[in-house]
Amino acid sequence: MRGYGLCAAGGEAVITFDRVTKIYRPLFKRPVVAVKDFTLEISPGEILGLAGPNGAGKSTLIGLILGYHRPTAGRVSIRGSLPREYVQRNGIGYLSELVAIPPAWTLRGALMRYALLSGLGDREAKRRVDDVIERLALVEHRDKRVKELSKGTEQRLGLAQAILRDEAILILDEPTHGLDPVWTQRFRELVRELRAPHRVMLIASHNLDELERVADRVAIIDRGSLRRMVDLRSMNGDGASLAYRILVAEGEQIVASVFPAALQVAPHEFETRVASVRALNEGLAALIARGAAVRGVSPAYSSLERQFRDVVGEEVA
Amino acid sequence: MRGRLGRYLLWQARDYAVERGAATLIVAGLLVLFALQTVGPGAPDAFRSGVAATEALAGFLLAFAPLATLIAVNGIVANDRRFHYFRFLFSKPVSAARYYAQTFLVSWAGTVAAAGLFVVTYGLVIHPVRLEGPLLFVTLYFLVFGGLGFLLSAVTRFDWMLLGIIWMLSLLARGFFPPDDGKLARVIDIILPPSHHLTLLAGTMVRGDVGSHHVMLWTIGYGITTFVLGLVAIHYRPLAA
Repeated sequence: MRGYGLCAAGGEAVITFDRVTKIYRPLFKRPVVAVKDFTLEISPGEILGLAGPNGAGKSTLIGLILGYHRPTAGRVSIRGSLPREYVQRNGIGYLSELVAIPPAWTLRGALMRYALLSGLGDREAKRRVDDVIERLALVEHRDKRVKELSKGTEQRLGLAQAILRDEAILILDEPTHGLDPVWTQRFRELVRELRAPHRVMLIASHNLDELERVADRVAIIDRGSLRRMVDLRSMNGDGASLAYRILVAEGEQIVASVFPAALQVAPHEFETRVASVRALNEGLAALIARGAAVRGVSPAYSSLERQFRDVVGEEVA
Repeated sequence: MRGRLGRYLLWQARDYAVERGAATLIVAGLLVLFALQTVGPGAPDAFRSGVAATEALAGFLLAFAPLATLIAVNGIVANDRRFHYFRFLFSKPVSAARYYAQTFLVSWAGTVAAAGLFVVTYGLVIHPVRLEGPLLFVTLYFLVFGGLGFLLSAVTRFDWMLLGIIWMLSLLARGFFPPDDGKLARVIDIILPPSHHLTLLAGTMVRGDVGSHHVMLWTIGYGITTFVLGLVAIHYRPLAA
């Protein structure tokens, strides 16, 4: 496959994008290039994150995998088949960014329907439905209509239908959207539980911290193009970061003389870029020696966030 | 593992009953009330004969069938696209074309069942009538306009509006260009749904006859063709289009 060597080292690819372009052509508007010359392979056992600003093309890429869109050029394939053929044969666990379920359906009724459409037998469907209701703490909502559910509960219902069956491919688009911190944490645990050697998981999210915690690789996309592939498994993890946040209790006026690039972002708080960890330590030593009281130092961005900012630009991060 | 569409039919029937069946029964109830006023026990003697009641039933069926069909097929495919319900439905191992073919059949059965209730009630409160002719007529009407509505719903979200316009057009065009009026009339015959045939068939079928075989075959053929074209559109048109 031509492209940028963006293959994961985990065996034969399950999902392949080969120079895919998708252009929307609205009737009375200008064509919009949603995805441009996109090449990527996703291997079994892998959790791939998709990061990008709004309108970067994340949802279009997911729509292409599910066969909901057809590429204008290039080819998307799942285990060698066209996406729609694969989905009709095997199904894909999918949570869309917008949880769209008819409002008159009850929570349990909706899950029973999706279980039947997933191919589960009657007894198995009931067992699995009760299991996901329990797992996602939906018991008290089981007889409520979808229109009566809160945003967070609706999101959990969306997640529940995605994991009803033991799917080989799981795609989660903005999975923690609308979830409270407790459920955001629970979601991370769930992703860890769902990780399996045979399974491919693709998670699209604005939340870089979340992706950094759960993904093996993160594809940073912007304006429809793959801008960078960040392999979180191979990052050195020494905490090196070019941007740091420095909190001082005293001696604010000294900071600029030691760190000329420092910007004051809040009272007693500065953000600065340094060439290395050693340069940071030397600067801090000089700061203390000149009489400043340093209250705290932390990386300004996580390593993924830093790469995201490098690629996409400060203004959108 | 494929989705169990056959088993899912019960849920589709339930959806039809809740979302569309109730509205169809209200239409049927209103028509029965109207029939009571015009040809019922309170009507003048001249309108209370069996012949008048049968003739009147044909007229009522010509009002019931288009409304029930419109209620049944309005947004049958388009609503799932419009409200994004397709996203979860078709991430499961099911064919969209098969799913909607089944929805169409369920709607058809529901409409015919509602028509049955209407005709039975009519028979009880107005004048005894045979059931099979009116039901066959509603079946045929649903096939023609339901098939067309299905096709429109597969290709546009303005399906019900277009179906209404085409229905009106088919009635008007036939007035301007009678069936034997040359080539243009032939073209209209082919393109537009055979409303004129259905209008005639209502009376014929209520009396227990099936009319001309040619007309019957043309009408069935038109309905099946539009339905199949709808399935082709669902199969080839991307779901998020």
